[in-house]
Amino acid sequence: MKRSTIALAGAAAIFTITLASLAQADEMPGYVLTLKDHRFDPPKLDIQAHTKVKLTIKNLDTTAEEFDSDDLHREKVIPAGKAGVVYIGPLDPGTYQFQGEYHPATASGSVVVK
Amino acid sequence: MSKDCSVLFLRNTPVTDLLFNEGDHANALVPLGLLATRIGTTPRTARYQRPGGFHRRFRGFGRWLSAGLLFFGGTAHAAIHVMSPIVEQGEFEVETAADRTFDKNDRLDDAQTQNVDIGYGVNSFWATELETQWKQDLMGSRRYDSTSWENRFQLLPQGKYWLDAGLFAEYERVAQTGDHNNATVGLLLQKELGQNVTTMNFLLNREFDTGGAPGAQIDYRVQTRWRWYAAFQPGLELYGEPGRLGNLEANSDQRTRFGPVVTGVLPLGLPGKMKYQLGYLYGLNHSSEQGTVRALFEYEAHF
Repeated sequence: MKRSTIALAGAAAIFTITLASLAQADEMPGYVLTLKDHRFDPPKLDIQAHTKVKLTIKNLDTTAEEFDSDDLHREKVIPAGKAGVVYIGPLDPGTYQFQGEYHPATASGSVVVK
Repeated sequence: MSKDCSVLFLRNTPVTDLLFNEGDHANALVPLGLLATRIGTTPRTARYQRPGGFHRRFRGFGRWLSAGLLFFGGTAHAAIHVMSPIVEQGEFEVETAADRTFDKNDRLDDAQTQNVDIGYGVNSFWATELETQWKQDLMGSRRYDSTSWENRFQLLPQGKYWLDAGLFAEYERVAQTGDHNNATVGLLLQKELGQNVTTMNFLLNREFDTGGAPGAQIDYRVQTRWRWYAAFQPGLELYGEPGRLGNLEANSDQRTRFGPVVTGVLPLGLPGKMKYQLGYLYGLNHSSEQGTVRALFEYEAHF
């Protein structure tokens, strides 16, 4: 087997093991956003700074909505009646805006990081 | 953290996400079965002939689609850009990309490529695209060159782990005599750190058919950008072709290019988004073109 092939296989193995070892086996903080009548509840979400969090978005409406945030660098379509999960952070203190792209006039909110 | 293999199968690890449909992320191992069993290379010669029936149908479709989107002409290689491992389910996109080289050597100067892509996010982990490519031959005429089927597979939920990862698989069917059908597979990685996003691609390309170059061509790409404003995100890029597996070129013979890029999302005032990338690459070694300007525009919307 050529040395370059061995090196490539070794790099792949190192990558896989590194990725697994860096995984967060412990549960991260979780928050829930509910979407009803094209409005997010709560409209303002407080989370801890420098902490990765799991954000569950429950769409109680009869149409799909896209959770979209340039500040958080996330976008995700949530089908009607379903829930979606978005992982955000670690974030520096500040306010990060998000909106429902399909109903921006009413579906908007912010994540306040303290 | 224990060092034995059992750590790989703890809950909320990348392995369990891959195997056991953790959260809303489907089993990404399934589409790996679609990967080609052989992989090929891509260097193309400049000899051209009238394309066959299969290619005429795509050429006609692509010509209609590209009207109003083409802004460069010519080629010598696929229009380059760095690919993200993130898939958006239900997202439809139309993309056009092009690049053009500058060099004192006539063999490397004024090589131009244009691609037009149509893509769709089939589900939460698989996005597929159909791409048509045009080249400008040595006589200055633009000709249809190839059609590709590209696939990206998102392996892990975005942001859950230290790194975002995906896989890439492409099959290219060429139209010109002297070129060879080929396939590309590779790893797509992305890391966010505050406002910085760094994306890396590691690709292997191999030619099929009699006369195709032996071995797999290595292709790596890196882009790092700062999310300053949504419409203006400056960054840097690096593209390299160090040679083939088991037969790397000497540094001076590798093709390595580096330079600035600006990306962003342009407000349309309409449903959907228009994304763009504009970059200039400087050749870093003997075998690289002295300069390459590249551009990409992508419209995406959900249906």
